[in-house]
Amino acid sequence: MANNGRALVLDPLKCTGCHSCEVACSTAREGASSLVRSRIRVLAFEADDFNCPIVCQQCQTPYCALVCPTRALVKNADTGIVDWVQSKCVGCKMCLVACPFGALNMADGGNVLKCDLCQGDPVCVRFCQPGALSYGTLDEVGGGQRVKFAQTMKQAQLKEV
Amino acid sequence: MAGGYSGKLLRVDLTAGTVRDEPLPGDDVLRKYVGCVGLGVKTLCEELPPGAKPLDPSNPLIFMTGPLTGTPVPGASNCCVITYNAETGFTAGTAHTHGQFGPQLKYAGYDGIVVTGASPRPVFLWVHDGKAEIRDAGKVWGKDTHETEDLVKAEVGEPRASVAAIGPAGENLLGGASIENDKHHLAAAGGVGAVMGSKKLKAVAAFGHGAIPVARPKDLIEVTAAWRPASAAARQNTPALITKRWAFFGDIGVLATKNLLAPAQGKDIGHKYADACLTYIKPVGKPCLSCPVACSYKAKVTSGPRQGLVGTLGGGGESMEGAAAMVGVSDPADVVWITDLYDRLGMNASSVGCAISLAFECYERGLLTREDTDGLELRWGNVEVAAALVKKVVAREGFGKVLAEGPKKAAELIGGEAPKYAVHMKGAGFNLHDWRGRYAKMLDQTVSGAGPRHESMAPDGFSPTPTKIEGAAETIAKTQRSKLFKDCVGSCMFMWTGGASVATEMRALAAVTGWEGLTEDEMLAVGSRVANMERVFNMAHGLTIADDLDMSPRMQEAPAEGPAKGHSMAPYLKGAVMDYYRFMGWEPETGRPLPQTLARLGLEHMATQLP
Repeated sequence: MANNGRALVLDPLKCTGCHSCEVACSTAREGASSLVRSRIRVLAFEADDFNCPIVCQQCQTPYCALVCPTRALVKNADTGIVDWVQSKCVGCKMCLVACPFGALNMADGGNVLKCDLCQGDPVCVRFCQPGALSYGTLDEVGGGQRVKFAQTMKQAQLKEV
Repeated sequence: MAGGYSGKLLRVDLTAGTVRDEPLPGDDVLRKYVGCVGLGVKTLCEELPPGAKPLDPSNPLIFMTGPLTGTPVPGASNCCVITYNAETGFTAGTAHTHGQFGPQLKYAGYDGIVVTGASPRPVFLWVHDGKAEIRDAGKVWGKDTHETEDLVKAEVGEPRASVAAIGPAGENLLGGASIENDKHHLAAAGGVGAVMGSKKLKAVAAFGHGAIPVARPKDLIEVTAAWRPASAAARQNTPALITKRWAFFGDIGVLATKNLLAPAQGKDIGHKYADACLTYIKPVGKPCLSCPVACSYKAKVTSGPRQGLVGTLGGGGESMEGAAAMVGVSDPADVVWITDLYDRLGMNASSVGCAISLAFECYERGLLTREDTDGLELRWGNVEVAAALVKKVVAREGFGKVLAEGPKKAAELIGGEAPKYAVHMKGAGFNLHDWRGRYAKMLDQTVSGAGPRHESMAPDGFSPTPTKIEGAAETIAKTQRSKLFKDCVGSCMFMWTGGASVATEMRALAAVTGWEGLTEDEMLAVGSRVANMERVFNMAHGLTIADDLDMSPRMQEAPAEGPAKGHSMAPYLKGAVMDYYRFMGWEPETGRPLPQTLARLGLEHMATQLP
């Protein structure tokens, strides 16, 4: 859910489908630019003008870890990140199936491609100019919506008066 | 192999019906020519057989990416199409396109495709994950570009594939035919669509799961993370803002209106459009791969007679000017509709639109009558008549046959005063805005080595007031080196505003390729090499100084109104062209590259091709 209380938050309505996050992620983490070897993926529904970024949400109850037969995926109590431990992974792909978001990928060599928030500075966020990706505290995550809602209420109240 | 490259070229011989892989040249060659127009023009110069014509099967049609294409560099989507120019007939032709096609070609395992020969029946090419197949295109021949994209994706069963296709204009070998990809993008100039049509190649589809190796990923992330927001901020053409830019063009009098007769009316057309995009036309950004800006957009008409229309426009206003404003069409929804028609037919509105607008002016002046135009009344602003005429041109039917020859030839065929009204350079279309009074930009277009187009970074193109001729030639010669270098690497020219100097591009190039010790001089030499290769190629195919001075009378006359009123290029043109030659290291009288200029660039072997 969070890395030192911070979370990577997705807003599909702001995503323009430029795929910058994917080429940045694959370059920074895999040393090669690709739309496939990325830990974040964007599904584009071109005709409907809808683009959906998908990435590990570091779930509180990580199904990927629950199904992992070798405990290669573990929720880290200190950081909140679901860690992937390469030495324990047998490459069974059960985690890929279990993730409700389909957020996990596997590289050709068998490495599970799973977001670890780039040690607190996710490169995808830096490459997202439209602001569909943000990285903030849990208080900030819903903060924008709260302010928007409160302002709507305020306007309604002012009209009544 | 250096990073940034997939390492392979695809060779396609459509006469034999064969495909084969070929390794890219080694690092020594790549450092000199880099990619895109650099590698493409080099290949064209080496492989076009003597005596071949643009529409001959032996003319190679070259799709070429650069090492930055498909990387996290902003706007890293450039793919160039290079061939013997079918529109001018005596120059190289280069066209740039963006979207997803170039990146997908690289993810599919190829840096470029060289197509030669001609197929006896319509075919398309399916390039995917290191393989290529020539497939039957009988079912899509005759379809427009958008339908073709959809049908080809369905045929190959990969909705994520990117498709570059010709429309009926390319099939019918129109000089102004383009290649369209990803709905919003055109490799517009150079007659590339006609060359593709002459090969009976309807489309190329590309998709791959591959990855482009990056030599120094950390460096690349560092360079580009700073570059991207700067470009996004400088461009200011996010989906909503790009539409305002057309109003700005109108304000400064560069919005090409009514065959360039009415620069002052561009203001009204531009503002009406920008206002409509805040009310009943909804712009939705459709960025190219790795673009922080998104200047391409869907224009969705939400009310009025054209409610439900969705136009797939690109950034800038050239195509809207060529298709709509040049014939006086000003209703915003009509502008979207007819611009989209040009895109679907697969042609360059900057070129074919000038032939159409010429006919309108000739009709209004009484030089043409309904008998000449198959009954069409060519009155300014009549969008339905303009569309009917466009379709006749594409079908080469009736009066359309005359206009299909392009604005210069059509004017000669119409006769009388018509040649005085035509808008063209070298008989071809150019990057269509009303550049009159902006002398450096005018010079840029007329001396460009790949037919009229942006080949330098003329600083005065969008100057609100007319500029001075002094210094124009030197500026063009100097910025042509940097522009053509940047045209080789694989990122979009719109990303160079906002701090992407040659040094920035060079750092990104070094990080991607891993090349050590790159210098700015070495990079500028890459650009000079392209300009000189094009010059030798063009002179070998008949270009003389007369062609560089072949700017149509309308382009040379002083506008009667608007900010450039009273400013004519005519007194300065020849002097400026000769000065430009001098700054390029070419003979001032002829533009013939001097032996020492070619030698300095390692092109001494090309001297023998000069006439």
